[in-house]
Amino acid sequence: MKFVTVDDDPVFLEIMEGTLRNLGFDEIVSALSADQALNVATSGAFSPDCFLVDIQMPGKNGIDLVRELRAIETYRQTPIVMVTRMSDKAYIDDAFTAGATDYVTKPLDNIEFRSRIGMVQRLHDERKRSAMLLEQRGLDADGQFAADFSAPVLIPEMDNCVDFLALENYLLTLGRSRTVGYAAVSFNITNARFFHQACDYSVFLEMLADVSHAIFHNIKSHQFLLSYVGNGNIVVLLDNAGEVDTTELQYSLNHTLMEYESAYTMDRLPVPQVRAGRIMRSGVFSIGRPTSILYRALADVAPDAAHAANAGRLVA
Amino acid sequence: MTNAFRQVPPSRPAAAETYVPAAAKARFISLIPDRVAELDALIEHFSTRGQAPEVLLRMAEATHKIAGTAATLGMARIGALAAKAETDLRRGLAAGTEPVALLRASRATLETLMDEMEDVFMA
Repeated sequence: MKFVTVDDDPVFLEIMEGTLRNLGFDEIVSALSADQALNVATSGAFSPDCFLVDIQMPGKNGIDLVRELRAIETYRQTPIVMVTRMSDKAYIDDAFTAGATDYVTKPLDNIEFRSRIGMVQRLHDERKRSAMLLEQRGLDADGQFAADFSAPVLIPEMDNCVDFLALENYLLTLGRSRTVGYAAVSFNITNARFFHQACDYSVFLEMLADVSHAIFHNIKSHQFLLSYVGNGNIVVLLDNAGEVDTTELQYSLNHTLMEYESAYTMDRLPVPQVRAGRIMRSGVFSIGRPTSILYRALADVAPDAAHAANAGRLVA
Repeated sequence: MTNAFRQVPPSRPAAAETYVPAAAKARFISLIPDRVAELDALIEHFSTRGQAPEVLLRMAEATHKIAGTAATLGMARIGALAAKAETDLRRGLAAGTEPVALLRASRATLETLMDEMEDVFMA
């Protein structure tokens, strides 16, 4: 695996580089600034499999760097781990919203760091396997590799849309005390399988983007992150849901989707239909990990979806 | 289970664990004169040339660099002093505290930080 480490402190770069070499990784490029990292990433001479990024740097900060990397097609899904002293919730929110995969706080703990790098390695291996499988299956008519219906997908060009793994890491980084009041709600696109089976994969992705836009439109007053977990299921994490009537939300969501009816009809396709689950909340006395609300929300719309997400299937 | 990603991997030999901090620690110590000189110069610059808040921001950036690295290398007290100086400066700047008053309030922490770093260098 190839790493780019980014920090304005050369000593900290040395610590990360030494630790990575100690773990058996020796293809590492260190960058002292966000711009230097972008130059490395876009030069074509070195194609990193993971970025380790500090947040607070003079000039362009680490969060802006994440945003710029995510805008480059090659790095849309590349693991990006923030390694920073900034532990305020605002920084954590901004990092995950920009597209970070995980978040580690300084001082760096050797064991913790190894654990996170182990996670990145497994993610990398899993994606490599998925890519090989897709390659074997071949391209669809639009030149896209079509993932399984059950596979999670990172919806292209959608703000606030993250990997399910990043969603979990976000909650784990904040911890139980800082996620009290958080809520999750899942949506099932009841005719998603039709789109997957009967259409080009690009049409399936466009349909997911339409549904996500409709969700954004209807819950725009909240801070939230969204993830498509496969099988037509979307989970949304809200940092303060207030009183939400999900029956009303389901109605307005489907009403918004009907605004796209003419476009779908022109392509002789049905309008996507969405079913909303109940809001699951994280309370002071909630039992289990902070991530449990995600599974409870998924189980509410489709028990199989919660099981699949829990089994750690990764973005194709 | 996805949550298994957070599990700790099998431990490695103790010698391998200590290698990295030792090498980087020597580099950190060798850079102490430069870092103390940088902080000194910024304080001097602030006092003699206009007392601009931008200079305090550069002090916060300098202490930020020290904070994360020192604590990772096991120099907890230096890490904590640098973190306190950075936090005080950034909060003060964000709150619009008058620059001279802000430096006065952070000065003792900065001086102690520089003293402690010099002690480590001299040891």
